[in-house]
Amino acid sequence: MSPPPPPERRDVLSPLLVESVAWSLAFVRLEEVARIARCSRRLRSALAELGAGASSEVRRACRLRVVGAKARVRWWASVVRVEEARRAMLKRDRGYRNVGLFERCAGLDKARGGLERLSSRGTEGEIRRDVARTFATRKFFASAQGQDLLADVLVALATAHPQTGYCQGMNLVAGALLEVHARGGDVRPEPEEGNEEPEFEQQISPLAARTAQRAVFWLVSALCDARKPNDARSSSSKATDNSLELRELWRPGMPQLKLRVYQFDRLVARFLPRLRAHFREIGLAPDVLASQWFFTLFAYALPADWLPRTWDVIFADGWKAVMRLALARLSLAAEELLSCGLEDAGKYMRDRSRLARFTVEALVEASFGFKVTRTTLAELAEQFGLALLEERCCDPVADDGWLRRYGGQGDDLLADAPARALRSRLAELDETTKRDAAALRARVERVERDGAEARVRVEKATAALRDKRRLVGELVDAKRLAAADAARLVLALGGGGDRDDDDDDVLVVVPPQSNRMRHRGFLGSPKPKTAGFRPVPFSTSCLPSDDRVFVRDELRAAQQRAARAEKDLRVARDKLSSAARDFVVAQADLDEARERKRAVELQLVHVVTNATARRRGVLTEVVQGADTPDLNLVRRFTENFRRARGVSAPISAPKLPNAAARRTFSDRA
Amino acid sequence: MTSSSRPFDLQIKLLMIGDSAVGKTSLLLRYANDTFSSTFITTIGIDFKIKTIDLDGKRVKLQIWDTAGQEQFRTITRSYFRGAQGIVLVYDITDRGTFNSVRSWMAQINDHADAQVNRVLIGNKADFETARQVSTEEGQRLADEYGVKFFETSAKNDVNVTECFTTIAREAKARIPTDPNNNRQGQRLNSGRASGSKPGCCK
Repeated sequence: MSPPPPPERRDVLSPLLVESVAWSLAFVRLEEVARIARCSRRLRSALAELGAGASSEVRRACRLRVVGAKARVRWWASVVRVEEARRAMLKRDRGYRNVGLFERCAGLDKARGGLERLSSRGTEGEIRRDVARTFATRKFFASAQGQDLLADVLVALATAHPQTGYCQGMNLVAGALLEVHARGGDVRPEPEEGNEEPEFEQQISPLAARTAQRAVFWLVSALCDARKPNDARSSSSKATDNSLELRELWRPGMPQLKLRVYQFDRLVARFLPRLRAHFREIGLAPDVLASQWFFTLFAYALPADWLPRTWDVIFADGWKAVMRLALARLSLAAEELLSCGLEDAGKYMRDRSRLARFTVEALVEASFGFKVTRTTLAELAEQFGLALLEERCCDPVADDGWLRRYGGQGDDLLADAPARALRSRLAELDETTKRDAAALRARVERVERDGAEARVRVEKATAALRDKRRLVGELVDAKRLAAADAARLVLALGGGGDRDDDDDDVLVVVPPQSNRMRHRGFLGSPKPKTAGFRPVPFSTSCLPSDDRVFVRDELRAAQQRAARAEKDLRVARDKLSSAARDFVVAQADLDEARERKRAVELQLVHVVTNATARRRGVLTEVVQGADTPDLNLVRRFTENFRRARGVSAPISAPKLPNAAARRTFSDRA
Repeated sequence: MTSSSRPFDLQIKLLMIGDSAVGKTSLLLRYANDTFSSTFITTIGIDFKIKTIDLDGKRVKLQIWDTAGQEQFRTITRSYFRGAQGIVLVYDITDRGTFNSVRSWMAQINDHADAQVNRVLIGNKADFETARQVSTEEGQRLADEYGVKFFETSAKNDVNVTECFTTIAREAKARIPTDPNNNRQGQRLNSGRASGSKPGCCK
């Protein structure tokens, strides 16, 4: 075990060590550096020395913060994987003639470089005109040397990437990069109003100038290139796709722009909904702001001295970082923008000096606050492809559609025949769905009707039941009354008297043992047949005969009344129990109707969801098979993502209704 | 509500097109801000300026869209043709190539702009007489061929700049009430803007 280094050695780091760490950043994977830095205090301090300010969070520090001016240029080359791009380009160039690819592309092997040699026509003319107005306020480009250097780089880029050619915006990216390279990794702030920028100390030596030119040429080439998603270096390919693929943004047609603006628009809607609503109200489309940011990687929109730091983040994280920074840029100005009209908002966003009260660190910090992930972007890319196709199938295209807004007239998206085929397939799907839905809706209506009918019946049955109950109650009272009369008369007869021929079996009423409640209280249960009447022999009489005759008549009448009440009561009880039966049936019908309605409604939901999924399936299929710039880009983007993450399903699967609904549906099917 | 207290009566959307570096942005900056710088910036993508003017007793708000001239950006600029009520087509009298492109620009207007759109042809950089490659007569002849007004302007010396914008605005204004489609759009923009608006810069 080696002894710990003496403290004074720790504090005073040798310049050599700092330099070697800077080198190691260019050649060792960042994760490795981070891992070493976690246990090595010396490396940590070295990193701190390199950076403007060290972060406690080592990994993040390595990726995003610690890169100081000295290491920056090499570090950029490392994260953008310039070497890989260079190898690929030389391979395309056939024969590995590494010597002077830049010089050959820039035409420096035939002529002296510089701006003046360029003709005023075609691409050279465009470059010539644009170089003269690239960062015209900065000293570096005001000098003939700066302009000549930039012109050579732009000519070389346009020649080396014939499909891209020269696109405005390249001049700003390459220009700013050239200044950073020529000035050793950092840029001075723009001069204050009325304050002259100090003279550029000295002319850059020819060697340093050529080194910077070459570095910028390769760096921009690498930024243009698509990176292979699974390369040998990234064993854990997860989250390493930081390729910007500016080629797709700068070449004619600008296929990537539509995709990126769509993503940006959706992200603003997600993270800054109030601002987006305001922009819509004043009529500021997202592309007015964002397309310039994307074409120039913020080179136009941010102060020049912010760019190195901003690009650290962008080169490390790719489009994810671009989106986060764009959101952060908006959020910094959100409060002011909300009170701005269209004109002021445009002015405000174009005016770099408004950012003077912020720092680049504030912007970068704010950008970390927006959780835009590669998954988010892949999801949105997929949505974009489907949205384009959907729109292609609409006739006519809506005014605020993406095809209309972002260039495509539709005709270049899909040839007419496939578009028609797709449209008819979708129409067929829609037709099926519509039929299914209509059938189900009819069923819902039928069930609803059944339900309403059942409800009416339930109400009727309830009313009938109430009626019958009341009737039974009244009859029970009447019978009681009659029975009581009869009992009193029997007593009056003295329990004796002549035995009457006609009335052998006079009924003596005995009050029923059951009370009224007992008659009322049950529904439909068998009634105990305890008769209220018991035949009593009429033998004795203790009344005078006249009276007896009278009482006997009375008694007979009472007995008849009682018998009649008894009969009515029996009928009423039958009716009551039948009403109760009706009620039960009606109630059961109603419950069933409700249950059926719920089931049919779930089926309906499922039909619609299913149709959406099938529609999506058809569109995805077309995206897989179509050969148009937009869709190729979407496809490559999402396929790379899937391969990296090992998923095969759609990145954002549509949500299905619950299991019960699915079961009901499959039963029916 | 009187006319003067309202920010504007009518909004007109103008579009500036033409080859790269003919001076579209310079013309616009001269007109809207009355400034000029010979080393100006490239328009990347799209930009806009707003100027409110008094035109025949009406307050007219001009929303002027400035586009990138480079071929590469056509797909973007094309989408701004629709809905524009007037188009300012600019070429550079010191560069015959930009004059030759006028026909292709006109074809673009035919293909992508509204059928009734008003147009005006501008030959810019008229101050740079020594480098002239396109004569005034040629410009006038081409303009006549398309039946549009023609101006030679200098953004640098402020020659004819206001005239050309006023002309196109007046032509568009004369047409708009007879064109229900555009009128509706103007109305819609007007009402949408009314809440957050502030008095125009001509006040």
